[in-house]
Amino acid sequence: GQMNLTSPQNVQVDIINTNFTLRWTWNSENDFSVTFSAQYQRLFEDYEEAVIEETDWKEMSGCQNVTVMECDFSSAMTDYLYSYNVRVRAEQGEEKSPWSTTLFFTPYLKAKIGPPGVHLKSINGVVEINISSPEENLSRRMWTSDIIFTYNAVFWENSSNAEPKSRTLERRNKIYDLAPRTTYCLKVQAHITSERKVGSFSPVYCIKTTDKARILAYPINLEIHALNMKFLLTWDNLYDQNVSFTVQQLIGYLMSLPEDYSNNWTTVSGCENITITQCDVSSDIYHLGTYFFRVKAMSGYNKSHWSNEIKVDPCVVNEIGPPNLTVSSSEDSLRIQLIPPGESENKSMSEFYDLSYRVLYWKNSSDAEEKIKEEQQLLFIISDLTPLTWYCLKVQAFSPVYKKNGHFSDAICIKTLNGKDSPLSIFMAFVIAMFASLILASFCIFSIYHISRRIRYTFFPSCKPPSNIEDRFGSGQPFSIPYLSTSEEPTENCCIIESIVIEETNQTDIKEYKHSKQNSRDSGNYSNDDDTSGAKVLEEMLEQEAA
Amino acid sequence: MSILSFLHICLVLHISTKISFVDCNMFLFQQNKVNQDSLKLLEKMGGQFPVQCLNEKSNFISLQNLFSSTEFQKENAMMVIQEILQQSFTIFRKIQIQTDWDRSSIAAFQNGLYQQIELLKTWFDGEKKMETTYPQNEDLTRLKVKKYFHVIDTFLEKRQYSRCACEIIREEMRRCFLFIDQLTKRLKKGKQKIEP
Repeated sequence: GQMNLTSPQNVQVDIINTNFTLRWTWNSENDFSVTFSAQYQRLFEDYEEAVIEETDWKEMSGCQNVTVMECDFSSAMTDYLYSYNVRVRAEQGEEKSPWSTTLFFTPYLKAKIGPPGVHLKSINGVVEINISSPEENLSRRMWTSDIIFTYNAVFWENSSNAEPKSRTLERRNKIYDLAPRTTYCLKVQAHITSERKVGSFSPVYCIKTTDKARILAYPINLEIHALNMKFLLTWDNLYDQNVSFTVQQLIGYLMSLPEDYSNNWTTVSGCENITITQCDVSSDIYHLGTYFFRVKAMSGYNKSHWSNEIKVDPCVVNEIGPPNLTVSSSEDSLRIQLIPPGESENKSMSEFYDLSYRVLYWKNSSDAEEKIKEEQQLLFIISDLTPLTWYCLKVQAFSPVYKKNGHFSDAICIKTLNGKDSPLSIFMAFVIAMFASLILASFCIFSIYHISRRIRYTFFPSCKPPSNIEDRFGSGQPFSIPYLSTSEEPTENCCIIESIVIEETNQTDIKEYKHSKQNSRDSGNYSNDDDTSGAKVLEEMLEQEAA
Repeated sequence: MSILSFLHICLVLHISTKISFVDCNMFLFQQNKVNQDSLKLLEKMGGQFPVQCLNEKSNFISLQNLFSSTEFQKENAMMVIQEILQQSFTIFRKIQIQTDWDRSSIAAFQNGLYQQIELLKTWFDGEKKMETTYPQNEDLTRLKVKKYFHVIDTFLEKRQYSRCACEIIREEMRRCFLFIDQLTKRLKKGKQKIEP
């Protein structure tokens, strides 16, 4: 047809949750016979978001022959994570305008968060605020997981001119500290911070608080005290009469789910109908995850409401106890051996934290300054200390990651050893060594003298042996050898080898004897027994002769 | 252009390390524990992978492959972790109704995840308020993870949460946690650019 119709301008898409609206403008005069129709195509992208394929243009349901300049096309959209192209044209009878410029969009990125649901309840002076996510109970969802929302509330007292206050709300809240018979108003918005998505506000809701309950007061000021992962829940005692208490626990994540969790509260074992205002709740706490606790008071048939819930983040709320330590000292250093906190109770804090240790030490005198040493290891050595001085020290464990300082151990004082001991003992050792070498030297001199005397007797005898002795030993060779061998080898050596040989030689007496005779000087040991006896005979004879 | 984008990265890193350095460290320290714990719990909740499900076909592109060619910034890595934690938390909420897996293991698993999801929310609260620039490819990265879980979701729905379908997803979740573990360790090492 004729191109008299101009194409629509400023095409835009607005998405709130899964409600898609297409809007545009058209310049021509109001002409009620003009209608508009839109088309779309799905784009297929690869994992790098590059468009690899596009479908044919399809007519957009909900946006055909519309007379106003907007239309709802929610039913045409199926994949919110993938991209689309849309275009609009004006139509008048057979005449059609050219297509508008194509608008490209990815539904998820374009979508805005709708208002959350707010439910208020006022019971006994307490206001309960329950929030439902923007798409609760809907089958089509833009926000597939409703735990990603944080809820921001703006609230004010209706009758006063006070500035509205803003605070973050959980999914379920109990507001305790409100004035009775006063009207409060609030509006809530959901947002996803990490995605920079801020939702629209809910309508304003108002509620009037009632008078405080006249029944037994519920326990207040719940506190959790934790040391080395041992958790103690305490609360205030407000009661004159005999009251017993029951503590319940809830696994943290349930509080944020839309499902009713009231049946998931479990009574903590050992904390049922107790009469004291504290209870050990460690048994139901694992170090990962969060937990809620609440307490109820009972007196006869009189029961209080459940207290305000207290949230427990185990590793954050826990305090680190002191480490165990053993200290030993030398003259100029201290050696500190640590055992991580909780290890003696089989719950070592090093399992839960990135522990480092800090030692504070000081001279045990009034004006001494403290010194600090930090270490990741369990062994500290503090050196360069003054000998014979009292030092005191205490140690704490700390976690840099959790920004947590543990409790200090009790101060331990220890005296360094006497530093003068050391040169004295060196001197003593020197003196002993001197003595020892003196004795050794005199022994050597003595034995040299003795041996030389024997040599003189043998080789330079003052008189010749009688001729009958010379005959008895034949060639004369045997009796010169034993003398040489004994003079060259220390007598101690002879003794040791003798004792070994004796056992063996019992049977082969004769053989051994022969063997020694044939051998050279080196193996003369074997025959020492016989030779020395021979030598003794010789000596006796020499003496007799000398006499 | 490349110098500009480099400056941009430096600026973002400078801001983020200065303001939420410690909180990020605590998150990563705890995440490391949650990763180990989740892998154990995933194993424990349903035991061994059933033999009769071995023939069932599933061809998910793994997260490792999804990010194999991309380098991403610290903040994007944190975002990927957040997205995986949120999505797997939601998947298990749907799955647990359909299976006879050990309830207390599932509860412990979800409780650990939820604590981290909340921690990340606070971390991002501080982070985004200070931010003046937009991290590169943020949307693209987020969409990638969302699409991956969308495939898983459709798979479960098509098979009407059959036992084998759930088992296959449990196995797939183990792979997810191995991937988060890699990311966590790299972030802990303080690498400013993550190269999977």
